[in-house]
Amino acid sequence: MKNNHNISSSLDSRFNQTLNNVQGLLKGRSIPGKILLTRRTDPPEDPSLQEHSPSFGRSFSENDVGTSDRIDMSRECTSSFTSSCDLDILGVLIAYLLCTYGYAPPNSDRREGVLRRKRLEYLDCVAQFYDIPDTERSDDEINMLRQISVDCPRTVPDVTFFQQEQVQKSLERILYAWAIRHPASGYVQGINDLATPFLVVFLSEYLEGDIDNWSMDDLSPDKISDIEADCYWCLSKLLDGMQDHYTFAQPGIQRRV
Amino acid sequence: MGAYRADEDYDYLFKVVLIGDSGVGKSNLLSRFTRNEFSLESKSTIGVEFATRSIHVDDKVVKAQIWDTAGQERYRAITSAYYRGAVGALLVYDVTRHVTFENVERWLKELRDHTDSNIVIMLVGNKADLRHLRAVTTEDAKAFAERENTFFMETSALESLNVENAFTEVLTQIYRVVSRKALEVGDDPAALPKGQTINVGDDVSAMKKVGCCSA
Repeated sequence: MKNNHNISSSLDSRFNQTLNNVQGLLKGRSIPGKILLTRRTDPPEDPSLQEHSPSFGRSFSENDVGTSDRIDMSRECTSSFTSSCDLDILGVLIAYLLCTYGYAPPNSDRREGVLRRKRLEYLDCVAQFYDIPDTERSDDEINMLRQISVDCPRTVPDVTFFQQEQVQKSLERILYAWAIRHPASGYVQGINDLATPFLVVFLSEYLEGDIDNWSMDDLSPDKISDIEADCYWCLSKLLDGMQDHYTFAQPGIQRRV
Repeated sequence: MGAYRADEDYDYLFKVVLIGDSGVGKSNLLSRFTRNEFSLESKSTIGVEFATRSIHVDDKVVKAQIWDTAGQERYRAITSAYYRGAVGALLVYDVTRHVTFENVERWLKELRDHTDSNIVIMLVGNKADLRHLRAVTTEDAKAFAERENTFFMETSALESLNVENAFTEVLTQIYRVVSRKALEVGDDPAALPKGQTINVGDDVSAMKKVGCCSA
């Protein structure tokens, strides 16, 4: 994570770059999850965000005053892209961004601790469930991993960055870890699309310029696993609110049609 | 379905479904046949999509309405209705991934459970252009098709190999079945075979109920 000074000096350009990348990614795409998300032109004040994981909610309220300028900026940024459903997702992303990683002043020791713990938890999960031979997996798990590995190369296929093997592997680990930890639904096609905006947002903290010029080789393995962990937890939070869109017979979707 | 008339004129409208494991190339077969397009950068199909194309069989215009769906098992529940009214099916596997061929049996069972016994089925081994990666022999697939009484063809959506033939063959066979039936019935040539309204699985009606009541 960057320190405070770095953040303030380059915040504007980085933030706009991130927005551009995410917006470009979402443009013209249909994201299955978007129907559940309501517009959040003022994400940080949305009460539902406070209840996201205890750590995320708490860290935000602790930093409430200090981040007001950034909040205003996010409002400005989001309201400039009006009348698009993509905005809703963008809003959520920005809210996460603001209240959890990097963009809020890291004045809370507790939050640092929580971050460290969450990242370790993700690493453990990957070590325990992903980095094992197929002989230790059940048939269902093998099928799930196969499905994920079929879908990762087909995720955002029109953006060359996502064709990099390391990106696809990161995505595979995130999705598999999520699937293992959420057996009620497991991995369902379409969830891959929900993970990608988080990946872009968190990577943009470390990779400069246009997404077409990004390379995973510029990141250390530790950094990559931190980013994966952050994506994993954000994806988990996002899906927590709509898991029954993905369970058998998709009752969540049935209710909405 | 007989009452369904689009802008163009046709004599028959046949619903054909594409089924098979994820990533075997169902969507590319569809786009190759209906739009003559192929994309190496295709995304996974979520839910159901369909496209149409008309061809001539004898002196008749046959309009094919081809349904494409997500290959993942999770989507089966929601797409059981997908099979309703289907008179033809292309059951696709990937010649380079043996597991997709092993799963053909399950697909066939599901298909037969949900459709009329007159349905015309073609087993399709796609990605035949990847010769050096082949994992399923033509002989094995042919033997399976004979045993299960389905048609069989190997295709390449990428090279546009046999795609036209596969769809045309299925549509022609359906046409034969339908016109034979029409002869037996003796009147309306536009009528689809009697078995058209098919016993749909119990789970489907249950699901429909959920959808209606809670709307």
